[in-house]
Parts: sequence; structure tokens; C-alpha cells
Amino acid sequence: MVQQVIVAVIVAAAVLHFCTKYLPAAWRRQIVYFLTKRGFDQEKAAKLFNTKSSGCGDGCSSCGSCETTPAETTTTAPLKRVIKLHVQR
Amino acid sequence: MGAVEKALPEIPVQAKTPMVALLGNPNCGKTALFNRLTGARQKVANYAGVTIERKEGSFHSPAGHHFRVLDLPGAYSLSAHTPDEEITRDVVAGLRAGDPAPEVVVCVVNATNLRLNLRLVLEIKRLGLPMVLALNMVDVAKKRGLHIDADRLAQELGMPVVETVAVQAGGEKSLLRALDLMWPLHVTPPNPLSAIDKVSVEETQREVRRILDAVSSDANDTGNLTEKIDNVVLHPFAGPVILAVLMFLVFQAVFSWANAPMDLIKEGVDGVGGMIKGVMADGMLRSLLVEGILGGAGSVLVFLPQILILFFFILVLEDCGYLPRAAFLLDRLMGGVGLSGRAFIPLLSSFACAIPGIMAARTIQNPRDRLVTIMIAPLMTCSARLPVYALIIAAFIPEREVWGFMSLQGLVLFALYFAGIASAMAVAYFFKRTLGSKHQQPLMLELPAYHWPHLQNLALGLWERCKIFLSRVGTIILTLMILLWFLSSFPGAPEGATHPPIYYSLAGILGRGLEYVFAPIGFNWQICIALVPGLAAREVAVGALGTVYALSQSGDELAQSLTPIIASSWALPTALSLLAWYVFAPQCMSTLSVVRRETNSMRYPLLMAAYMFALAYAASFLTYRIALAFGG
Repeated sequence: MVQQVIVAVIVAAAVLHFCTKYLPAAWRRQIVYFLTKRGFDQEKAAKLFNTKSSGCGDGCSSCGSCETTPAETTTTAPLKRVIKLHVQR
Repeated sequence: MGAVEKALPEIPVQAKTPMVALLGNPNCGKTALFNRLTGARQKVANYAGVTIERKEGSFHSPAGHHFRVLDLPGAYSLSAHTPDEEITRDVVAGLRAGDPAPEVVVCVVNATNLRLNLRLVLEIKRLGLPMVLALNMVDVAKKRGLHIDADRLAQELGMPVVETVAVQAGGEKSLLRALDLMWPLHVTPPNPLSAIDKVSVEETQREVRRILDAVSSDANDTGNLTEKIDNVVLHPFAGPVILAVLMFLVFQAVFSWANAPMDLIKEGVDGVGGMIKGVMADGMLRSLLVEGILGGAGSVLVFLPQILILFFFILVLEDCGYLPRAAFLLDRLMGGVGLSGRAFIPLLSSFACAIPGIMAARTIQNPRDRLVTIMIAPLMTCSARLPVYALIIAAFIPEREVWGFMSLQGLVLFALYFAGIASAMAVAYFFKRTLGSKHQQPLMLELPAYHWPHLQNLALGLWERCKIFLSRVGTIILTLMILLWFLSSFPGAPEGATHPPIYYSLAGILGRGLEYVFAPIGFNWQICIALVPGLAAREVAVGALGTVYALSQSGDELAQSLTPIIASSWALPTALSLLAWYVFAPQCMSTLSVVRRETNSMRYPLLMAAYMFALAYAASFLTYRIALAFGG
């Protein structure tokens, strides 16, 4: 019985982690919408499901793509955002 | 060109943190200097075009002054031709809304190649911004016997000149002192960009020659070893042969050197599994830990040494300056299939991961060329494919020597990497024929000087790859293995079941459903189950196979290691078919997501997924059928 409870907790945590981290952003927003309609606090749900992030969800930061904006479609428009690194020497 | 036309009075800026912009030709050491100043660890490599975005950091000088610093993409001129050069031009000229021009421009030049580098310095000088010239790589220039009179150069240019060695600790100190001497800094509005064109390029180059005659002497130049090496390495016949031999040796080493550390990790994982079995009663939690987590994530962890060995060689070749030569050697081939010369760096990055490769395609000016590069980048063999290839090769390809010195396993791995490159070239050629190509874009690439790889760079690069791999094992792979274990364990087997419980589970039902589609290419239901979580990332399939087969075995059959299990469960045609599948299949949602972001459209990721799945199925079908016909 104890083993089953621990397994249930681990699996539930994995489901939550998967939903909040690896689902596409549009799906995460849908989940937040669904939860809000059922009385959940929208702000908290949005924070939990990280709806502002459009990261690719590969579980690493190997390429820094999560920190940058996509390239503009025209060649003349410059890239907008700066990657900020504040490291003390 | 829309720059600030009106002169504004100079305003002291101690109230806000002054901005220092690092500017210079590609591959002159700007990012290395940026890292040295800020303590950051931005990617540095011995070839042009590594920095494609401006990056901002901050630092305190020895006198306690606080500076912000911008690392800008390299440029040969402020007359920009590509998006990354436009970033540099616009930042320096203060053309970006809300971003004033920097208070100081640190013009970084390669001391061994002033003839090329000084032209940009003279152009920037015409903008009228406060400047410091960082004479970088002076150590290399001195070793070659090149003498540069820094004081005279400062007089000629009318700006402070400091000597720096960005790759050495303390190599930035003279620059910090110069910045302190310039304090307090003032906001100086730049002259309009049109000021640059007031002097012709020819006149500028004549001025460069005059300055060089006055400040430098190459009478003691011991000769350029780089040119001597290039005479061999870039030889029309010997060059491609050397490239092929080098690549071949890398893949041989991946298998030959990795055995001992892999066995060590395998024994560690098995030991933990045995320990858990020893202390825990049989039950659900033990099954999750042993078959789910250790069987899954542990199977992937074993491939860490092979990935590190591969990246060790890539980093060595990158740091010593060989990789741009490879670009030069492959340019004719790439141009022949309609690829821009600038596609080499994105495609090279894709060997680590397609995502940075796709992003690096931003440096390609022509939208059609950029799109084609993005579309073929996932065909380059990324490091996530390596665990899949290594698992199947170790299980099915005998560990024997060919012609007395080559490992057959390494040879097969080399062939798989080559298949990825060849298919990418074929797809690019197809796009060239269908999308049309008006002209071949010439490759302009400055070949850097060779140097011995820096051990610190190598160690940092390997540490980064190690962290990335372990982070993926500990996050996405672990999460998916727990979910897969759950789906593979419930509901349990019915009474009188003749198959293992996983056969009746949710995952088993899904796998058996998919088997109808994949049976013609030789995939069984266990492989079909592994393909589904494998969509998240390719190496997840290895972990998934580990979990699925751990749950499929029972009693005496139960083995800890995945390799012998699949060797006894699959026929050779199935293994070869799965290898062919992974050469082409777009089993990576992250890549498709980044393609959507970079192209700002759903059309291209869908097109990419469709053509890659179609190619994967066709290649697997042919491989499977041909192998069966040969009696495999």
C-alpha cells in the first residue's frame, strides 16, 4: 500500500511536470483556460503552466533559443532583444 | 541613412552606466574579450560567424567604474549585407529606437592581419565616437616576428591603442586601464552613416597601407605556418582525402575509446538496480525504480562517454581552425546543390543539435537559401541520434576489424553520418530544382590562423555538453520514462494471459495499433511504443526501449543491459530498418517548434515533418526489404 501511494505521487508529479514544461504553449494556455473556467485562480494557473514561455521544451538550454526572439522575416529588420549577462568579474 | 544629423552638446554620463561596444572583423577575438571582461562563457570558436546576436554584459574596472559591454557580430564594413552585420551597423550608429549609440567603441583588431582589419577602424572613426583600439593576438604576432609600434599607431589613428591577448588570463588588463583613463565618459552623438562614404574604399585602403608602412615591420616575419599547412590541407586532391580520413578516425575513436567508461557506467547502473532489488520487496515502487527509471534513463546515461568523445574531436577541430577549411573544401559540393556558402556554419552546428543550427541560418542573406538550410538542418546527424545508433550498432554489428585496422562498428557509424550529409545534399538539390535558384552565392570566408587548442576551452566545451546531456536525462527523459512505465504497467494482464503484462497495457494497445502501420518496415509493437515518447527527443527512444523490454522480460530472461536483449529479440533487417528510420525521421518536436518560430509560419514545420517522415518510411521499407531479400 505504501509503495502504491509513493508511486502515485511520483507519477502525478511526472504528469504535472510534463504538462507544465513540455506541452506546446498553446496547449498549456488551453489547460489554464479550462482550469480558470472551473474556478481556479487564473494568475496562479498561468504562472504554474508558464504560459508566457514559448521555449521548445527540450529540457536543456543548449542553444539559448529560449532566450531569444525568432529572426525577423525581412532581412532589413534588426533583431529586437538583447541577451543580458550580468556576471561580476 | 537616417542617422542623427544634428550635433548635440556633450552630456556627462556618470549618472548612468556607460556602454562599451566591442566591434571588429569576424574572428578577431571579440567574444573571447567579452568573456574575459565579464567572466561570461559565451561560445567562442576559431572561425567567423559564431556571434549572430548582440550580447550584453557588465563589469567593474580596477578603478571601480561600472561599465556595460556589448559583444556585436563581426563585420568587415559598416556597409551591411546580412542581418547580423546590420545589427552591428545600427547599434554603433545609434539607429535603433530606444538604444542610444555606445559611449565608447572598442575596436578589436587581429594584430597578425592589420591590412584587412584597419579598414573597418577607419570607417568607424568617421562616425566620431570615442574609440579605443584593442590590438588583439599580439602574442601570435610577436611569435611570428611581426613588430607593431603601438604608440605610433595611436598617433596615426588618433585614439588609444592597447595590446590584448583575449585568450589569456589578464590579457584584458591594458584595455581596462585605457577605459579607466577615459573616465568620465560623455555621450557623443555619432555622425551620420553617410560620413563613411565620403572617402572611397580605394582611398581608405591606401590610408591603411600608409599607416602600416609607418607602424609595422615584417622584416623578421618567420613566415606563416598556417599558409604552409594550408598548402597541404587545402590541396584540391589531398584536402578532401585528409578531411575524409579525419572524420573517419573520429568515428573509429567513438567506438574504440568509449568501451571502458561505458562499462563503468553500465556496472554502476546495474549495481544500483541490484541494490534496490536487494533491499526492496517486489512491488510497484520497485518496478518503477528498476524497470522504469533505471531501465529507461539508465540505458541512455550509458552513452555519455561516446557523446563526449565525439564532441572532444569536434571542439579540437573547431579550436585549432580546421573547420572553416572543411567549409572551403565542401563549398563546391554545397554550391552544386544550390546551398549558400554561409550554410556551412548552420549545418555544422546541427551536428550538435539542429536547433542552434536552424537559428544560425539567420546569417544567410537570401531568404530562399535560408529556408533551404533550415529545411535540411535536421538531416545532419545530431548528438541525440548517437545513443540510438550506438545501441543498434553494438547489438548487431560484430566487433571485428576490417582490413586489419578499422573497426567495423566505427565504419557503420561513419556510414550513417555520411548518409545524413548525402541525404541533406540530395534534398537541397531537390529544393534547388523546385524552388529555383537564380545564382550561386559565393562563399567569402576568412581562414583563421591555426593554433593549438586551448585546454580550458576544450574542458569548458566538454563540460557544457556533459551538463546538457545529464540535464536531458534528468528532466525530459526521466519524466517520460515514468509516464511510459505507468502506461506500460496499467491495466494489468487479464487472467490466463499468455503475454507479459505490458502487452495488455495502454502502451501495449497503442504499440499494437501502430504495428499495423510499421509492420511493413519490420517494426514490432515494442519499437512502435518507443517511437511515441521518442517524438519528444530522439534519445528518449533508447530509454523507452529500455523500459519496454525490461517490462517485457520475465524470470530467467530478465537482463539488465538493453543491448543483449534487442540482439536476441530483433532480426538484422529490423535493426537496419530502424537505423534507416533514424537517419531521416523528424523525431524531435523541439526542432519543429523552432522552425515554426524562425519561419513565423506553420507551413514549413509541417512540410518538414511530412517530407522527413515520408523519406524515413521509404528508406526503412527499402532497407528492410533488401535485407530480407539477402536472407537477413
